Amino acid sequence: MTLILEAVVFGILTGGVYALMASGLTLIFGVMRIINVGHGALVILGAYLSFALLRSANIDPFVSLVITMPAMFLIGVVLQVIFIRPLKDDREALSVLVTYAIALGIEGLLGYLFTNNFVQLNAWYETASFAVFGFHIAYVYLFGFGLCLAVLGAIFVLLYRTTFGSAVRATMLNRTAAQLVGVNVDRVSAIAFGIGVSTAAAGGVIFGMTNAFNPGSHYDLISRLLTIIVLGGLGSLRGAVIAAVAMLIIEDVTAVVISPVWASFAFFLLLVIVLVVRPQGLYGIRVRERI
Amino acid sequence: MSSPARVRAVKLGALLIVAVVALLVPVFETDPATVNVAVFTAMYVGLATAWNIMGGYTGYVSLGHAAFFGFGAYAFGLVLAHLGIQAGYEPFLFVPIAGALTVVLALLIGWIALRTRAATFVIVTIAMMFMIQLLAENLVGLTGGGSGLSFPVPPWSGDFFDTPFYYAMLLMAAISLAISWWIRRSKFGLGLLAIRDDEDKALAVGVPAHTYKLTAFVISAGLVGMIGAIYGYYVTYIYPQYAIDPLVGISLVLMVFLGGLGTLWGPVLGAVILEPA
Repeated sequence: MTLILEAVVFGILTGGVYALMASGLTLIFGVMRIINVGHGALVILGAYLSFALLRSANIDPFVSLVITMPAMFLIGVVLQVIFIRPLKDDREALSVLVTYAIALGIEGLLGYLFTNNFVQLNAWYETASFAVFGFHIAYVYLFGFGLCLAVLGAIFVLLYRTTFGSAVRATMLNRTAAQLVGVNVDRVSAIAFGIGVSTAAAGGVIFGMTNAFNPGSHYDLISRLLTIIVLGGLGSLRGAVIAAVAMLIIEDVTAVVISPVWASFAFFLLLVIVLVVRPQGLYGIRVRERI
Repeated sequence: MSSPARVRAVKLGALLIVAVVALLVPVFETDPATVNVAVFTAMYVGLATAWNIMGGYTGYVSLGHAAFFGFGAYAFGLVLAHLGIQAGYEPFLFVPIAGALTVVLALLIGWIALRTRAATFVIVTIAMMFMIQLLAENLVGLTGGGSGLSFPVPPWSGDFFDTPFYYAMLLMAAISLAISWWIRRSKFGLGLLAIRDDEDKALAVGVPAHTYKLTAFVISAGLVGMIGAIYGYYVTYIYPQYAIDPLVGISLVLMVFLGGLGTLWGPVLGAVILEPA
């Protein structure tokens, strides 16, 4: 029983990280109607940026976010302007191909710069732990969870309490109508992509501290993130957060109760079950448009 | 000048020339490295054409076809192992069994995935692919897990080794093309194109959209599974990440987009341009 409880707590804490990464992905989908298959690679890129700062200047991974998040924001804006903006027709399908190319480019670049050996971000709080209800939780999970809450909170405030947020939500609802009432849709898209990518950097730091990673780690990551945003309902931030936490709890409990090798399978199985019962996802609206 | 009969004759002549050139490749080109490229080109012609039946005609972009490709290879390898088939030409006769097994899997996956549309469908097919990959890895007793699955090695010499596989792949490409051509001209194909243009209107005028989509998906997956089976026999050893490779699924989509989505010859053109490059 303690094991299951521990798995649930663990699931919530790691679920926060996935919620952070998935919210960037679902935001990008909502605003631009594109599937960013490169999101996993961008998370890994963020982790490597912090890794480089840690190795060369001995900057604490969490502190390095002050540098990497703005940097990743700029990278996101540049990627959006160069690769995503030119896509006019058939965005959903073409965006997959384009962003997959971005992912392969990042993977290749990281492989060249850092080799394919697994690395991990190290800090004192990664191994130090504290005891709750008789089991130990490493500080890194708690700090990571706090960071996720902070970043997610900032995104929610930005989207629901500012004029820019209204523009973003208007673009999500109806691109053409938003344009008609004076929203600069291209600018909103670029900034939203930048925000999505900078949350990937934040997610990458926590991912990099809790997992060993190499340039190829993004495949596993992106398949999970995509599953999460479909489960939550495409374009729904709330759905992504809830789905991420639910998925990770189920994965961790499966790992304890059945076997770790089936944990990821349970993850995907949940998607199948939800699709059978509710094809639009938890918070989604039924898609009535054509691809 | 360009009467329909004349256009038809020119088209048939061009087709004949392409067919003759394709058939004669291993006769004139004996360098195994070149024939190897030809095998993969023929393979991708078949894969892209088969994918196009679903992705091109109905507009439902599946990025998970690598799952059927790998599943076909695994199913074939297991059938050969359990029936104790000797290496040589005989295994080729069992390729349709791998195709039939893939069809069963595709029915199941299609039934679930086709409850969604557009972007969600794309993502669900990706998730399904990773599920199949995980199964191949976790069902160690059946598939050998991470240590992979070996096929019987054909007793042919190095110079000749690629040739039977080239013709097998070419045959699969021709079958795919024939099916694609037939669908394009049939009422079924017309229904698929109507679904691509506007699924709700198609439903309104009486196109049985769900049955049509599932049929197209299953045909497409079955062909891909058979090609995967031949591929497995050709490379003689497969493991999960190699047989079910996301890159294969992406490459064939790229070829179809390059050549022309929803056309008969587009996928062929895309594959011939991209694969040897």
